[in-house]
Amino acid sequence: MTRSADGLLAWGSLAAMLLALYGAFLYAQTEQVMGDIQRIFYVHLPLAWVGFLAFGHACAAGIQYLRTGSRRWDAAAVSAAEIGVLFSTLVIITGSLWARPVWGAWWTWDPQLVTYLILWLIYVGYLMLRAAAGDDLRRARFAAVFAIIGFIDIPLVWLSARYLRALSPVIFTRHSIGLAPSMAWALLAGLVAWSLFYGVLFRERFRLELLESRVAQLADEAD
Amino acid sequence: MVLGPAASVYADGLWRGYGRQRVLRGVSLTVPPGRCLAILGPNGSGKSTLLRVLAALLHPSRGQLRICGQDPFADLRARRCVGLVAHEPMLYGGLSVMENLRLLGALYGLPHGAARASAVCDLLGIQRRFDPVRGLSRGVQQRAALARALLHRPAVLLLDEPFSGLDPEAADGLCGILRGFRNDGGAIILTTHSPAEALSVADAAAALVVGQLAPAQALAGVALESFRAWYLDTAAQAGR
Amino acid sequence: MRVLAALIWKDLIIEVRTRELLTSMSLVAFLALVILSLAFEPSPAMAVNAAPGVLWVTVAFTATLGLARSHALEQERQAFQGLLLTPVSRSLLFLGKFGANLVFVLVLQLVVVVAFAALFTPEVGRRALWLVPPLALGAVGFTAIGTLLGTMTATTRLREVLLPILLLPVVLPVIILSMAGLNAAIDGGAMGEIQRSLKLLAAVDIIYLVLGMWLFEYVAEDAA
Repeated sequence: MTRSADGLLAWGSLAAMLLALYGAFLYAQTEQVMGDIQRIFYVHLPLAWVGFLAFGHACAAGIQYLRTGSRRWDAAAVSAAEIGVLFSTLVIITGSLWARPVWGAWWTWDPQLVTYLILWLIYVGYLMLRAAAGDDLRRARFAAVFAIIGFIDIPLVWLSARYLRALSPVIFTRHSIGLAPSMAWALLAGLVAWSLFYGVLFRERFRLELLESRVAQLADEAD
Repeated sequence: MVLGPAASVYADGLWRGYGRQRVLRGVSLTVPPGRCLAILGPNGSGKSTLLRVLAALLHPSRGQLRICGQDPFADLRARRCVGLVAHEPMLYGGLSVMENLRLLGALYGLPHGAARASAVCDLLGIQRRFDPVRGLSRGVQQRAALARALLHRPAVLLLDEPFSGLDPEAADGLCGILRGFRNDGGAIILTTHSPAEALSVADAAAALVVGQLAPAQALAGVALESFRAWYLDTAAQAGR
Repeated sequence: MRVLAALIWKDLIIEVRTRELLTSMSLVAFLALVILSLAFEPSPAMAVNAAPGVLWVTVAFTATLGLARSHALEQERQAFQGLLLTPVSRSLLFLGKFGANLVFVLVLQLVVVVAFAALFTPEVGRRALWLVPPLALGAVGFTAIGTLLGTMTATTRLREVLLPILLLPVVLPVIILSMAGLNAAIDGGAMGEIQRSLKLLAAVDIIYLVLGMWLFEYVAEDAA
């Protein structure tokens, strides 16, 4: 992608974000049970979805790295993972901010939340592995393998958490929200906006990673 | 020198590492059966990495490798042709020499593992073969490592600074074994930082400096002084 | 297969001679249980209900230590590289290490159950046989990923500290499902309940084993 395409992406993302904000705060009707606090959902859910996809991105990049050995894939993986950590942290924070007024607790052992917490822990583990792994080649390989394991594991975590919930129903459930059409549109706008924003962040981080690589290479050649 | 599949070891354009850490930069070499190549280089020049790539323990970032005509990365069976002796003995401390050798014999699929293990221990004069490896002296552990490398009758023997820390008697013994291996048609590649050692056992020598291999020079009839001068010259040139 | 047997035998015989892994793991597990029993002082009835959680917390952390140590042994004298030099497939090397690690974890679980019965309540002994399938299947999944990640972390800077950070979040499904099975077994639950959890657990185990066998070659090479 060229700079002009990146610029287009950035402007598009800005426009989509403004639209999503309008949708979240003004367009969507107020939810009956929870009131205005529910509007945080229009940020929380898109963040969660994109955060999960970011890890999928890192996993796919990992598989490609193992197949081709090309450094670009490793750069893509670390970029996706870093932004994923950011989004995941925001998911947990917005989830907490939402839970407190609604259910009176900062945290609930809801399967979705548990899965997200584990996803966050795996992301952080991924970054720690990269920090500890040592030389570039080993770091890229290990990170790719862990990204694959982690991503395949997430659905398993979710399914087993749901199984546990089915056994003991004394756990808060989140999806008692029926979606009116205006709410659905707001949600969709949010998804588009945050996905585009992810694209913008990813491109920047990816470019930075490649530049750092290039600098190291040039420095090495100069020696 | 013979090129291509008929060679015991054929490497073409081996690269290893990225960015700051490129250890090998386009190393190519060929060693036919019954010849010994010495690779000289200062510490940190990538000698150990090169040997580990040749032993197929490390993947090169680029380049081709053929051992006895096969690609050891594509076909694991090609690894039967290679033996490696490095700084660490690559043996389990909690097992005895014989147990280590019998384990490896099973992994290599050797038909009479125990007998072969005994034979190779006899060849190398390993007396305390039933004691745990961690209790043995460094010298005996190194001999056990050589036993491990020769166990499966490889066609190629790779040795990383094999003479370091050996007393003259042990060094003589090692030379004898290497000459015997060569006479049986085996190919040897060894690394060293001493021109004298290279002269004593090798047919040809090449210098590895900053990840690049200068062309090999035949050693038959070469005097130590002129060889040492050549090596220092090559190292200095590459360093510029 | 002769190769697989040789690989598993190698680890078992070293452990039988030194007994270092099992003694240290057992002691740590026992200490953990002592602390837990002092902290909660549960009545026998409560203790039985708490059993799945207490058992798995103890096993999870202790087994992680054991796995880290087991893989550290492969790095001593670069012994593992000797195995990599051979023509044995990397999946088979994985299964060999997995097999030996599994034996250690199963023995650890036995020790933990016995110690739990002694420290908390012998009630748990009544349903002892029913505890075996969930614990054993849990051990399989835990050890599969533990072997893969253990090989990886053994060569990194943080070593033993990194393994729990990476391993525990990933094997959570196995721990959850195993605890569900244990709960069902302890409550004298319906066969259907126990069977369901075991089937799910077995499915997860298979996924983890396949992952291990597939990805081990990418990890093994640099783990030297």
